[in-house]
Amino acid sequence: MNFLKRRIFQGLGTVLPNAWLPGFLSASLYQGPMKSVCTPLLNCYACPSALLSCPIGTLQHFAAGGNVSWYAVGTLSVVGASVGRMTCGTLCPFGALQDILYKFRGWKASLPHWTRYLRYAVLAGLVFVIPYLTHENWFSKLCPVGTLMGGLPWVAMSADIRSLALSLFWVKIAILLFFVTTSTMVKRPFCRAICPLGAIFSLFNKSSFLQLAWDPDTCTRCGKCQMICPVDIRPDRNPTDPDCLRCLDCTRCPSLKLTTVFHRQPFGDPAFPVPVTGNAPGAPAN
Amino acid sequence: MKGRPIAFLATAALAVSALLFGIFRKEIAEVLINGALL
Repeated sequence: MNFLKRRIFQGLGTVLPNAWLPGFLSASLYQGPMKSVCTPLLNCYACPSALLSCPIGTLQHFAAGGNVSWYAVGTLSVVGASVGRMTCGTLCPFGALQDILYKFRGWKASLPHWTRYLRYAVLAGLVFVIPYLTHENWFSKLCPVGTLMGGLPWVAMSADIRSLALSLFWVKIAILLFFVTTSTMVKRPFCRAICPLGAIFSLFNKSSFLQLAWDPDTCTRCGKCQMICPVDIRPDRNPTDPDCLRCLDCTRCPSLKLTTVFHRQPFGDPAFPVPVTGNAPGAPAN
Repeated sequence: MKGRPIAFLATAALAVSALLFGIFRKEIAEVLINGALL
């Protein structure tokens, strides 16, 4: 996908789910029917301008009550089965922020490979098991997206909430600052190591309708795809990598393209290569 | 991979079933209340 086009989509993914501007003016939450829709993004529903519900907050709310939200599971599964992790790469507001922060010049590092498994532990522990045992939404309490989009605006707007800001608020601020700082050095640290929504969507990357296809015949293994990849993977080694955000930045290379799960030969039949110039063999001369 | 279209169809069928089951259980109302009355 064109880089600028992805930035436009990320802008829309930030603005549209948070388009209830009267929320900021009246310091109140939107309570209309759109709050019943789970957004396929990590977008805090405690933000004064949030129109849609957070799917992770919904899953925790049901887990805290000893239930499973089949509605949230189904919504996320339908999105995941359709596009895999594409919403992480093209729409997520916090992903967009991390992409922008990594553009800052300075010392850069790579994330150890084992950290990719942490997000599954966060999903199981902080979204299901601990809320079930404690009846509290512990991921939401610590979520840096919630701090940025919900906690900080409310503390800035309301003196009552400011007076209620206890030590947990400063822990949340510290977590947010940690991810803001590390995002300048490491590509998308939160998405790759912590995000439970990314953990859910990554389960669908191998079987989703949209797939990334790689052509071994034209690939020179130059590694430029890894350099431009926002999560630092080699799509030529594993086009269905669970970490792949389907941002399509790597499809600038002609050896990689977006295809569907039903397309068996996305680059054409290798036994019958299409001639690049001139007439096809056996064709009548012009 | 040959099995991928079948895996996709099975996943999609399960996903739609879970969504419809959630709607049938009237979870939408609870999601709305949870989101609106934080």
